[in-house]
Amino acid sequence: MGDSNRLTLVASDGGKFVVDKEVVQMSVLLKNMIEDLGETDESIPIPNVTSPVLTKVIEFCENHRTDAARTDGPNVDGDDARMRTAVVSDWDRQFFDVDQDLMFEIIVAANYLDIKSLVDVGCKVVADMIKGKSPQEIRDLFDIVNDFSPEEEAALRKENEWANDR
Amino acid sequence: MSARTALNGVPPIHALPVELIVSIIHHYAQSDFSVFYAYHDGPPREPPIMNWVALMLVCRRWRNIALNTPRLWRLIHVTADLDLLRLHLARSAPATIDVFFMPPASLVNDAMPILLTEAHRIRTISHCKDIRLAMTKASMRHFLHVGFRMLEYMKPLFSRPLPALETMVIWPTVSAVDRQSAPFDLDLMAERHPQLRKLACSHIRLPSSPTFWSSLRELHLGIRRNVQYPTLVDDILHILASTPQLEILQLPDRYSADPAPHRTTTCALETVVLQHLRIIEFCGRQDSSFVGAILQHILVPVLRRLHLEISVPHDAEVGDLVRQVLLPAARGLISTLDRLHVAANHWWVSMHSEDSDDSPLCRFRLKIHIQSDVTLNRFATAFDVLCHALQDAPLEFLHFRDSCHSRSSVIPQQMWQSFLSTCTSLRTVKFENTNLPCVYSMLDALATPGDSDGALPSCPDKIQIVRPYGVLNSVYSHDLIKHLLDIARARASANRPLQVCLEMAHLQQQYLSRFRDPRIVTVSSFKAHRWLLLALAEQCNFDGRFWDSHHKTRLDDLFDENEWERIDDEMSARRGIATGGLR
Repeated sequence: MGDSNRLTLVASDGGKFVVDKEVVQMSVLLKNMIEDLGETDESIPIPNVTSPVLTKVIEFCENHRTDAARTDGPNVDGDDARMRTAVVSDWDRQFFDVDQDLMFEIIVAANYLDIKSLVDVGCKVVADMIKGKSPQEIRDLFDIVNDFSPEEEAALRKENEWANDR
Repeated sequence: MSARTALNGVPPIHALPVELIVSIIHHYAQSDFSVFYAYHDGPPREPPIMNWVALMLVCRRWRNIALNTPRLWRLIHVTADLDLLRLHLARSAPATIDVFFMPPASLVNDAMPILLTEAHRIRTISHCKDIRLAMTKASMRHFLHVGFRMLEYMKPLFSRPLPALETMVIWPTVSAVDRQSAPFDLDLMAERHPQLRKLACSHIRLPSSPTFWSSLRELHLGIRRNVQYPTLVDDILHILASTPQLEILQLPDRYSADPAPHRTTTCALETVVLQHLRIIEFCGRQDSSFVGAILQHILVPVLRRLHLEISVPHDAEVGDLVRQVLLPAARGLISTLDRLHVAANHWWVSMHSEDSDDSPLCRFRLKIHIQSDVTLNRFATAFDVLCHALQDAPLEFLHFRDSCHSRSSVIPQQMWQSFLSTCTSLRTVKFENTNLPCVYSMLDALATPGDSDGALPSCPDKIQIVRPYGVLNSVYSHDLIKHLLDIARARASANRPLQVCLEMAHLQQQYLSRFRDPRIVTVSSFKAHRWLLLALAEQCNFDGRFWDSHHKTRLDDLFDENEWERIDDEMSARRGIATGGLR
């Protein structure tokens, strides 16, 4: 009989991770699975997440396991309020100081596992990366192809002039 | 295998599903919008900016995602361009919308017919502060006011049902004449906006119906000093009695130059219990009687932050200053607070608690600034009151600043002893620009056993001395350092360790002027002191620092590498510890 406070996650490449239940329950998906399964020694497969990504996700959850609910600011529900109060700590920035492949895989994994705090932090880090950059600089940063024709782009710039015309 | 390889060369960001691209754009936009949603003592100064729309130029996918995400368009900025207003309203449908008005009033009038058709979607009604327009050529400036006329044009909106309305910021700039008139009547009714959670308003007639207030979480209410229509304690208490959900209460008083109305409560209300109230802020220059009456009549079991700015009459004695700032009603709350801010100005003494963001564990930091000459008698009275007042207050940081430099402002050692025995939670005392006799008086108190138990005072743990006044040459500085060293040793031997932090800009300036060569800024000028500093550092965990406008020199910099090696070797031999202990 294993430790009832811990369980094993199996990544898509077969890597196994023994993790505290408290940590795992930051994922809404896994929390629901654990509640459905009840007390069990069975491993939980995570088919869409590789070992390197799962390692990072677990690292984040372990670091944030003691995060208390925010008590400052208005107690307004909803995504807007959550995004406004999302705080990216130095630790979080260090955490996402990885190559772009891994960074986006972590965010996708967090979205799949439904770990809201990790999704918020990841998206905010990306938002901060593009803050103050021109569309061309953003394309260069993320290797995005400009699929507008020059005429289209000129027309769109004109359409957006109101945003700069205050 | 990387994600890019797996996706056959597609950039990894394209692996993000639509909802994550939306989330990234939303986070990007939030930093633009945050100023409009965080209320800081008034409406936003500038019209909204929507820099995020530039992201629609990155690629076709991002543009389509943005165009098909209504909530990204919910910030509706009412300008003269009515076609743009219609476009944004169409793109934001069916999401709720946040409407921001700006002067002149005619803009509101023109836009109102369009907005009325979307009233059911309005989540926020707010406006910018007055707009300042630069006039051509000359540097004259012209202000466009958010006044009562603009409110007239906004009024039709409030006659419609606003079922989604959560936030309302109506804070007009009123002229001296309007300030004496009745509050503007927007005809607010609970039935039309049942979801109101946040209300920031001034000079607005407020409904008396309890249902209007029942779901409110945040209330920012401007205090009126109108002779005919003043804000009375009773008004506030009647409102609070109807706000069981209230979490934040802010009562700014902007017009302190106007005569204060009689504010003594005649309220027969019983104590109002506010189970969820976490933050109370009395901003501006508040009458202590007004603040005290409100605090006396509310019970706030979960209050965590209290902010008090008190106006003290110029002719008040300094003892009154302390009594009025640390109100009895406030003292009873202090022990449960995470953060306390108190402030008051007097013509020769100001006191305020310092922002403790840099030290969140330190919840009560008090700064006392003596601004002009003070007789010992008057100061002794104030200090005695302070000792008494702080018996209930967990004061952790006392910042003492002295600008008068008179020997008569020296607090006697016995008074410090009394103070230290009262404030047992005190961790740090900081002296800034204080004369040496005053510092020595405190230091002597730290090394003197108490009458009752014969033990040295248990607190503070740390003394900061910043730019001590009167340290003009090496004799004074030696004297100060020797004093510090003696106290630190005495306390160390009594198992009461003391950390000392010393910053002496005056010393360096004086040396520079003495040598009459402004180029001499090297530490070699301080050779006589650096060994003393080193000894002090070794004895009492001294955070040795010199500072001047050109250089920041730490203990590390006082000795070159060869000297440090010799020092470390000697210490290792003497104390049997590893090298590098002091650096």
